[in-house]
Amino acid sequence: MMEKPLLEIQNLHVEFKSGKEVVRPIRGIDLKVNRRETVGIVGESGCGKSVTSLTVMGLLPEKTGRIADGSILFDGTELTALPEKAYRKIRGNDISMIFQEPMTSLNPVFTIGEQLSEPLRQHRKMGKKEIRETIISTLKQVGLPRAEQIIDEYPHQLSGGMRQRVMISLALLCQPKLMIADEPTTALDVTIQAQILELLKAIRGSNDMSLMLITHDLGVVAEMCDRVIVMYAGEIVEEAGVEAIFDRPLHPYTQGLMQSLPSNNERKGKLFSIKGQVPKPSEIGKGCAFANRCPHAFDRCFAEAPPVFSEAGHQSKCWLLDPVSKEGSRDESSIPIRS
Amino acid sequence: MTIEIPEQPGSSRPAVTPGKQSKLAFLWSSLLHSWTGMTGFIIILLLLFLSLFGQWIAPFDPMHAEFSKKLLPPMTDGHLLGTDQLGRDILSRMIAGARISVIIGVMTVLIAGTFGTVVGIVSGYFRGWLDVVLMRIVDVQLSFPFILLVLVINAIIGTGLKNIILSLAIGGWVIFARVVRSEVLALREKEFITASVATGVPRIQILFKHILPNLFTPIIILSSLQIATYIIAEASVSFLGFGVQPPNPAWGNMLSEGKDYIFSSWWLITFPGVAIMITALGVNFFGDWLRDTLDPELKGE
Repeated sequence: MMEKPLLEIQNLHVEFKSGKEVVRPIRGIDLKVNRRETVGIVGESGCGKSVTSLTVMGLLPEKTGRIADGSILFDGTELTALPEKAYRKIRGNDISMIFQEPMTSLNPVFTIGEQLSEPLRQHRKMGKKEIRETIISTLKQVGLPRAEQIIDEYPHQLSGGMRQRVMISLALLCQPKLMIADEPTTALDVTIQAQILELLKAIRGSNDMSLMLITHDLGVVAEMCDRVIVMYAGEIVEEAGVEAIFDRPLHPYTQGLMQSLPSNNERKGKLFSIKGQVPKPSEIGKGCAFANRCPHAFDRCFAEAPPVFSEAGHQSKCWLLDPVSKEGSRDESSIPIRS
Repeated sequence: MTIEIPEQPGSSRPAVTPGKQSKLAFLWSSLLHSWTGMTGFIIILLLLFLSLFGQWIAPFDPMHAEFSKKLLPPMTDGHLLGTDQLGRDILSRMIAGARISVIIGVMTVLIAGTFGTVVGIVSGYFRGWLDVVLMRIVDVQLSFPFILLVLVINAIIGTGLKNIILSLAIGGWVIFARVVRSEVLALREKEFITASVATGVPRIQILFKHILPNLFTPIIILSSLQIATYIIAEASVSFLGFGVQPPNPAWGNMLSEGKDYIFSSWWLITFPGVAIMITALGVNFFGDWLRDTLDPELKGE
């Protein structure tokens, strides 16, 4: 048997109260992150990627958001019922997070050193000198030049890429077991993006940690991840190893995502796009959430939510994979494969 | 080979990059480039100087009445700005009045600012029913004209220097509460707050470490602008017979006493009026400059 996964989420449901309505951005997801593994979570805006990461961090808005059901097991600890005080010992220490916007993720009135000392003072008993040395060595680890000077500079003196490196070092300081990166490269320009990804990859290898990479960029996923989870409208619609996903995407939504990628070496007249939008959580009926946009949808898709079909570790929630419906109305293209 | 540039305040760095040591230097150089800011700064320095050392500078005792010398025009008998209806030296009374204006402006801002800031932080950071209650109180109070409110409070708690400061503060804290609350609301949604929570910092510590320092600039700017408002309000209230009572020299009641002589002896009312105007103008100039200088930094660029 394999060793137990570092993070195991089971049947997670999250609810947001907005006025009198209750919105369910996460509707029953199961996922696990193994030790030393990079898991990518992909999906359009509004599919619940970020809410998933905030839930793991225990950062749901206190008054409006709550975990309605399910469990989050991290390294043997159940997180869903954890009191705030115990959660604080995990945040920044065992699990840390990198945010999307490096320009606003640092407090403008403090020097880099003052901000980076925060997690160390919170979680480690260290003297001033020791803190400073740790920060400088971490800044060097993330590839910042002249770390000894940057530690005394203010955020506005650094470029976007440098700030994101600082944010990564902030997440690294306590050597977490799991790092969640929520679109870490979206706000950066392309050349910097590649550098930051390389850095994350290198760090994951050297620090013996797991990485949960949230992104909408399939290129990033192909480059970085061991396993990929595709989310749509608060559900996981497909999960597979990175090669399996790119070679043979099973879910029509994943296929759509792949086709939407602009190709490097051909000049198409028109880019492919999946018609329609992610349905609002209130608009989801009893059938498959993707049915209204799916090119292959048939009667059953609108009537019944598909279960998870699994073959050799490749899981997908789509009726097309059901051997029964395969023989039915849509036999001509049973499992559509991207050509 | 080293190509590292030594950290020198104000050297080598492009554009505006104030470090801790160079912040004052940066403010100073910006002040030198703004004539309005500089004018305001000089007026404020002058006011402070007069209110601190006025009693040794004033040529006469501001309270000493000499009926044989009443209503002397300016530049006679050593009375540079003339005398009033009781023969008191107007320049000396104005210098003494400067002290009262400064005390009132500064004390009111301290009291109203502190109280309003606390209310604003509690409201904005903790939200909930307390926020609703506090902000409705603010709404109700804002619906009254400021001067009217100050007059009513003053009429209830009585006149005199302490009470006028208290009345102005009771009338004025709402502005601070509103501004601070809105700043806090904007700040608490900032990503660096989330990032800090994500490193395991307790929320109450975040309030003191991350929210408060970021409020500093807007509070300073607002305070400097409010001082002028309070000085004018005090003059108005004193003019109407509330506030500072005669024979104590405040610019407002000098106006009030002098208005009967406006056609025969113009200097009684003109000089205190000009003093009020210059003070308000100077403080506003300074406040505007402060806002223009500190605000862009607050926004990042």
